Amino acid sequence: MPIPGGGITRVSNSLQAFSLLSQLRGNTLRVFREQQRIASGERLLSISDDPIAAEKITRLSKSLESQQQILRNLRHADSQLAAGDSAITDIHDLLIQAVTIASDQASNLRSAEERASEGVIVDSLIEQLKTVGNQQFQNQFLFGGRRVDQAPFNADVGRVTYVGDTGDRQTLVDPQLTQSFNVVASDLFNLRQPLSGGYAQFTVQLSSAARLSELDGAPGAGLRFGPIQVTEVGPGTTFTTDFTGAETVGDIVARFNADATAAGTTLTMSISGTGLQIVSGGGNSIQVAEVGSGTMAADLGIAKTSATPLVGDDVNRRITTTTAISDLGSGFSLPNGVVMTNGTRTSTVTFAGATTVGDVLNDLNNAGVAIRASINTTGTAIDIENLAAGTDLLIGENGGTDADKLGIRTTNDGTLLSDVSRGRGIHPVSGNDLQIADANGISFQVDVSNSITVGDAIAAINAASTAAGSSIVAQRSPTGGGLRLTGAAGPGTITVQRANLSPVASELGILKTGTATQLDGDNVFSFRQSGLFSALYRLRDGLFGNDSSEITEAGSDLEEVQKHVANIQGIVGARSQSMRSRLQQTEDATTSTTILLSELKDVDLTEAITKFQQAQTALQSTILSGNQSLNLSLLDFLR
Amino acid sequence: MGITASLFIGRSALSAYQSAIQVVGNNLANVATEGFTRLSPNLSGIPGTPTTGGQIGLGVRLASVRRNVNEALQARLRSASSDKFSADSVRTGFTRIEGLLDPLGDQDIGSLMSEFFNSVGALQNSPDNTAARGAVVNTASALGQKLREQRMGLIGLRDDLNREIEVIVAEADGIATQIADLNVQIASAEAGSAGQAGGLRDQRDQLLSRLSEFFDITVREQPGGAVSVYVGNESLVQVGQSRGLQVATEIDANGLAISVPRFKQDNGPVSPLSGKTAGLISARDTQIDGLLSRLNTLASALIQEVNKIHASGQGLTGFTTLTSVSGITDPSLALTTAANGVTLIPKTGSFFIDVKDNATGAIDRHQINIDLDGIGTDSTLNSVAADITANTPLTATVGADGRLTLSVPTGSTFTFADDTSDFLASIGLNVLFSGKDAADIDVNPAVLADPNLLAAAQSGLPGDGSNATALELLENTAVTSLSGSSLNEFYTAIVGNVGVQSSGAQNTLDASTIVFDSLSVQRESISGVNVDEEAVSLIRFQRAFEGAARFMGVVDGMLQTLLSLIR
Repeated sequence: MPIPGGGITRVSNSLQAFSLLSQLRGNTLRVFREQQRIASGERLLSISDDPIAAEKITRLSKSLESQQQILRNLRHADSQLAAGDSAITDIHDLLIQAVTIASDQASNLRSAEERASEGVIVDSLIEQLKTVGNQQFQNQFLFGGRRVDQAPFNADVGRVTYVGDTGDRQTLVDPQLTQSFNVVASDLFNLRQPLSGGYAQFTVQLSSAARLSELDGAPGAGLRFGPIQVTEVGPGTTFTTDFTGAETVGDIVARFNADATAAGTTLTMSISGTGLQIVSGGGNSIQVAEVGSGTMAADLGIAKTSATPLVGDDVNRRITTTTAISDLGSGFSLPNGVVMTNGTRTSTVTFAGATTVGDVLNDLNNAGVAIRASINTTGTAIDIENLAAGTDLLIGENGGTDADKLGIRTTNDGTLLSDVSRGRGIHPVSGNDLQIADANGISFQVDVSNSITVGDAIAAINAASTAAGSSIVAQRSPTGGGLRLTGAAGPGTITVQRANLSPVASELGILKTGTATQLDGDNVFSFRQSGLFSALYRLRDGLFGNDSSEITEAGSDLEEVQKHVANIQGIVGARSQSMRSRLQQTEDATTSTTILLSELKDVDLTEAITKFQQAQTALQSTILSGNQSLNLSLLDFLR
Repeated sequence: MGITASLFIGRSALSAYQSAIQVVGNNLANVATEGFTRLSPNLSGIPGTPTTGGQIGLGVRLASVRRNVNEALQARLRSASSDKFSADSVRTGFTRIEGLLDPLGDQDIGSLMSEFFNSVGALQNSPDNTAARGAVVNTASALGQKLREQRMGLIGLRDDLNREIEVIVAEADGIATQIADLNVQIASAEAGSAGQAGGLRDQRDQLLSRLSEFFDITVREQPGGAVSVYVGNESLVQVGQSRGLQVATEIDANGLAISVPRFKQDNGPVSPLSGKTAGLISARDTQIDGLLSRLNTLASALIQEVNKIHASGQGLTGFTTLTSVSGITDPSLALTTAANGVTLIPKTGSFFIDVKDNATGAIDRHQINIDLDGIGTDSTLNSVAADITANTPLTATVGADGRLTLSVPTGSTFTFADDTSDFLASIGLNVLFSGKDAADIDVNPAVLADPNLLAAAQSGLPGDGSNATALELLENTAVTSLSGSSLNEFYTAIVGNVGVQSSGAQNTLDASTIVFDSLSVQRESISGVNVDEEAVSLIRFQRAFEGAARFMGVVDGMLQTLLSLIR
């Protein structure tokens, strides 16, 4: 930087020296800085050199590091999917063998010995498929969901039992997007459909401690917080209240009551059954309205005008593990418990000491019968899964109605007749299907061709019985998965026979003779796990039992599973493809960021070297010219 | 006029030119003396007595020795000097801040923050992996350490500036005393004299110029040659008296020591607007304190936001006993009480305590409500502890240090989930970071000792990395306490801010240097010595002296001629 010397008329020696010094300092600094840039390769030696570029560099560096982590996530996800894909190919190969055995052995020409020896092969296939299902990748069980530390399949109840998790494992594949990278065995082997239970839609009662996040709101859209306007119509007192920040129903009630009192009304809010209630102490009408375009009053089910009390609508509280049992319905309790039988194991669960839904689920899950009880995704009912393959699960009453109340009883009035006998259904004929006789010899015929559910069939039997003057009453078997007929005592027995050669009596499991007062049907409604292992066990049992129809049906089950596995493999392939394309995109983005960053950060050597040369030349000129000018003095001419 | 009078003329000339040559000699001698003001001999003819033909002068005399100085320029130069040194202090402060932050390096806060979030990203992929857990703990630890180091570095810088202020004020105090002394000397030297006490005044100018580097001073010359010196509106030196300067050590609003310049006489405040002291104070109180505050805000937000997420997650193992890392001053006060010593104030909400039966694996979930809506009785630490003890299998106790300890009977472990109240993060239960800001941020000692406690899951399952995903997302999520910026953006803004301010400080320094240099050039142009000019003067006065000597010879000859008539 030159010394500003414009307008001066004389130059002192100090000024000359000062000027020279200043120029030397400036030029030396330039040489130094350019040399530093060349040596370090960095364009900026400090952020103040170019603050805007420095900020961009910081931003881009962070963005680059995020992108690189996403690349690592994508590679991890891709490797997991690839490992899954490879295992699925093995499963596919084993399935082909099983399907081949089923189609080969379905023929009636096969001997029992031949079938039994194939049955041994199927046993080995089951074992191999279990091993593939328990496959590990990078020390984690590939198909066990988030329970990566435990093999998803064991044989605790003598049959392959799924004990894995059903949740997705996810990773960030974009700064704001997660994608799952695992395949869960229950999905892969199609073990989760259909679920049992879920029959009871609870009328969940509100409680003070209930979290507001558990409420679906009266219209079912959750709670959308905003102010509401409340008027006590008689005195015409109006106030506005806002529940924003409230956590529990109790907070809502407290806020309302505090605001109502502060406004000078006689209104009080309380919890009433499945909703809220507002009472006017002065006996006045109450009006609750939205403020502006809000929806909070409607969400709380109290957007109405009513004489006191204003009874709010059901706010649709969902059940969670912390929901009290007593909140599952008005006066709800579980005094008796349930009896569960899965295969050879039976357990009675009494729910003693249980106070919450979580306790009930724990009691059911720890009963040792290889089931998983959980709250369904909408929070309205309890689902039951049979974790063991190829076993019959029966859930019945332990002398009460607890199983019915929980909606987990194997049979329900709503159970479809088409689900009877593992989906074989019933096949009514034209005309009557059943011929039933009570102990007193009164007999009647029943037509079930218009029945769709178990409840319909029971109603049809009971209607025919009443019409015939019989004492026979049909009901669902309290402990099992079938029907029970009861009647008044008499000299004979309760007997069910075919009518019109209809197979329905046999299909419903009641083609038999009972005692004088009771006939217990077979467990035709038992609940079996769907999917791969059940189909294989069916094939195996069919082969060892030399049962052609079982073998045929197992073959068709296996073909379904085969299609399902192929479908899952397609999904895995598509996900893997999507990961790879995202990987490519992210790699491209990373390259662009790196280039941008380099442009800002890295020195342009050509430019830097040129500048260095210029600075060097300037320094040299300063030294030369300074030397010359400082050496000139009139004193040299003094004698 | 007699002939001997002519001798007087010659003598006056010899004497005057000898003095003039001395002045030139003095100028030449001081050609390299900084702040020296060139002197000019002011010669004037001695008026003679009237004769019939008119008046003939009686020779020449050195009327005065003039200091070539422009007082107005000197005043502007002092002001420019104050500005330049003020800007220089600020710029130097920034240079050191930049060196400390080193945002273009790979070990700065930003890089370590990225490493931390990247390690969390790796954890989401392999939440059960010991190495991945160790990496998160290490990167979190390194980040905490860096934040602490940077804060200590900034405090060290502050201390340096305090020391510098002390040294400067001590020097300025000495200068003020010297100026007062010189005032007395100059007044006595110039009393009754036509000229100025050049050397003394040069000395005083030098001291004033040095003082102007430290403070923005105003100088007023009084009749008699003494000067009054003011700092702002406050008088520092009056004639022979200095009020003196000293440094008082005080504690600022942030609890940090500050060195404050004060008048020695009455401990009155000195409030410089410019000069090195003002620059140092500005660098300390505005730049460094501003950065410290932003660093604390960043650390505080990092601690709070990470802990909020972490507190609701689960590690690979549950707790059998757990004590909060922070204490509350008075556990009987509502948790919203600001004076309770927590930086993250909890709100109305709830959280779950999941108690796992180790034998069966069954998990029993308990909801704990935190009521802080100001209606009825609000939750206190004591009430929460009582609630936990009453409604869960856990025993909760509040220690004398205000910390909450939870323990569960043998055979069970517990974890936390879904805290909507921020209570857990607020008191430091199941948190990743301990501490409140950059002063004490660290990794929770429990997690440091057992990385299995790192809460990567939201379902309690070992392969669940969803909480780690939530933590990774935090890097670029808007944070309320950062005015809607994300942690990343906030840090980038710190870097940008320091860069812009530092660059601005450099520009201010450049501008003030140009003004100062320009004025210095002008001063040198007037007051500086040019050897060639002095050589010309030397020749001129030498010739004049030679002429006078020759004239004395002629007069002597004339006298000799006259005396020879007597013989």
